Amino acid sequence: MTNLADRKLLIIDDDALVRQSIVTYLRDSGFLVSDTGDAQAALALLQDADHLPHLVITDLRMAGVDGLQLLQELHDLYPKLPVIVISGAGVMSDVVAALRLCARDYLIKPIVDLEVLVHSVNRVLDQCELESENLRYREQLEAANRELKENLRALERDHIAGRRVQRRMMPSGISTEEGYVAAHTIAPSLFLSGDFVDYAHIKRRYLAFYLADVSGHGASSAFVTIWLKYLVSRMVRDDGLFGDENSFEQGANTMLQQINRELHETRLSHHLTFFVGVIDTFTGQMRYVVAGHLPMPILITDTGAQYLQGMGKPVGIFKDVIWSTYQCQLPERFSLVCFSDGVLEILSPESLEEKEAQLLSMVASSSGTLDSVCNTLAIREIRDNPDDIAVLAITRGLSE
Amino acid sequence: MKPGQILVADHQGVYVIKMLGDVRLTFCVSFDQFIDSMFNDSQFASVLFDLSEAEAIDSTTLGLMAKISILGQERHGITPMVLATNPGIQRILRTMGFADIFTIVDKLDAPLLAERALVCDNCDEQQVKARVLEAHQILMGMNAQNAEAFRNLVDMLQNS
Repeated sequence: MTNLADRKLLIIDDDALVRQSIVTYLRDSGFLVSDTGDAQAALALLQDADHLPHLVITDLRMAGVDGLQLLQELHDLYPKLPVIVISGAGVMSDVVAALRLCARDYLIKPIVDLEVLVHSVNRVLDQCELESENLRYREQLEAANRELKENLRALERDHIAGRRVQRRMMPSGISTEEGYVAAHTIAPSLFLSGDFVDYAHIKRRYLAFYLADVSGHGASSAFVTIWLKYLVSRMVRDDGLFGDENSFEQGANTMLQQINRELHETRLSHHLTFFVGVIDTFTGQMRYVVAGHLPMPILITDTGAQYLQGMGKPVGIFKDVIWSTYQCQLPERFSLVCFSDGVLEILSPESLEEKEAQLLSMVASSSGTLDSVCNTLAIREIRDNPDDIAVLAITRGLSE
Repeated sequence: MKPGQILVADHQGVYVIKMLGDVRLTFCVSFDQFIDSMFNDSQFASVLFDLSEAEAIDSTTLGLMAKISILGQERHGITPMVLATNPGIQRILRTMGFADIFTIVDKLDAPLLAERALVCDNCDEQQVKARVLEAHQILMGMNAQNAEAFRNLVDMLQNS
C-alpha cells in the first residue's frame, strides 16, 4: 500500500472558491494536493513524470473547455491514471459519457459533505492499488509459470537422458552354449524410476543375474541404479564375484553385504529390494538370495509353476545383515521369471494374496519365454502405469 | 483404491502416524522435517504406526518408517509399534524384515507383545505400553476428519 501521505492528487476546477475549499479539505485529510484552474495547465503539469499524481479530480463544466474532451485526453495519455469527475447537476448524458471515458466516480456539485469526496478518493486509490497489485501478481505468476514450464522441459529432457543411460547399462540378452537364455524387458512408467536388471555369463560357467528395485522415483533413484551397475561390475571384475566355486556358494550374500555397507556409507537415503541368482551352467545348480523383494520369482518346469521360496531383508536399511542363500536344482527344461513389484499394480484383484495367485496362474499358462510371459500379461501394451515393470526371464530348453 | 493420506497426532509424547488408502510419498521430501520435529519434542515417548486403514504403501514410505524406527532405537531406545490388520500389508512388512525393528500387532485391545524390551528412562515397559495404548485409543476415538486430533501431514508439510 502506498503510504497515505504520499498520495498525490491533482484538482482541476475553474471555480477558485470551490477548488480552494476542496484543496484545503483534502490537505487536512492528509493528501498531497496540487491544483489548477484550467485544462491546458493541468496537461502541462501532468507532463512532469516525476510528479504524476495518483488521482485527478476534475470538473466537467469549465469555461472554454470541454470537460469530456479533457477526460478523453487524460484517458488517451494516461490510461492508468484514475479520474473522479465532479460537476454541477449535469445531464444524465454527461454522467454516462464520463463513465464511458473511464471516470472512476461522478460526484454532483455542490458537495455538501466533503468527507464523501475523501471516501471516494480513498476507495478509488485502493481499487487502483489492488488492480496494479493484481497485475503484478499475474506477471509474477506468468513468469513463474514460464520458468516452471522450462524447468519441467529440462526435467523431462533429463529424465529421457536418464532413462537412456539406464537402458544402455542393461545387457541385451545372452545365451550360453549349454542352452541357457537370459532376457529382460522393462515397461517404463511415467516417471524415471529405479528398476534395474543385469546378468552376465561369468568365466563361461556361472550365469549370474539380479533384478533390483530402488525405492522412490525420479533422478535420484535412477542414479542409484547406475551406481549399482558400477559397483557390481567392479566386484565381478576386481573381486572375482561369481567367478569360482566358493563365490558361487557365497557370492550373492557377499554382493548384497557390500552394497548394504556402501549404501550406509554414502547415505543415499534409498533402499533396494533384490533378487540375486547364480546358476552353475555345468551342473544346473542355482543359488539365490532374496532381499525384501515381492513378488517372488516364478519357476516353471514340466511339473508346473510355483513361486521360489526364500526371505531376506531389503538392502540399505539394516546394518550388518547376512542374507540366507537358498539352493535349487534346475531341470533340463525350465523358465525362471522375475518381476519388479510394478507388475502387481496391473493385476485386477484387490488383495496382495489374490494378486500373487493370479500372477502365478497367468505365468503358468504361458510357455515361459519372455515374449510369452509379456504377451500373457499384456505388459508391453500398458500405458501410464505408475511404476516401472521389469521382467527378467532365465530359460533353458524352451523353443523361442 | 482411495488416494493416500497420512495423519499424525500426538498425545503426551506418544505419536500416532495413521496411514489411509494408497499411500505414496513419491515426491514428498518434507517428511524428514516432521521426523526431526517429532524426535526433538522433549516429551517424545514413543511412536505407533496405524496401518489398519492403509490399502497399499509405497517403498518410500516403507523406507521412512524404517528410518523412524532406527532413529527411535538410536536416540530414544524405543521400538515403534505397527498396527497392521490387512494381510497384504502384513506380508509386505514381513518381507521387508520389519518384524525386527517394529513391534507388529494386528489388534490393540490385546496385551501388546513386544519383541524386545522397551527401554525407557523413567518408566517400565508396561507403563509405556499402557501409555501407547491409551494414546491410541484417545486419538483413534476421534475420527480422521477431526483436525484437532489429527494433522494431515501432507497438508501440514505443504504449508510449513
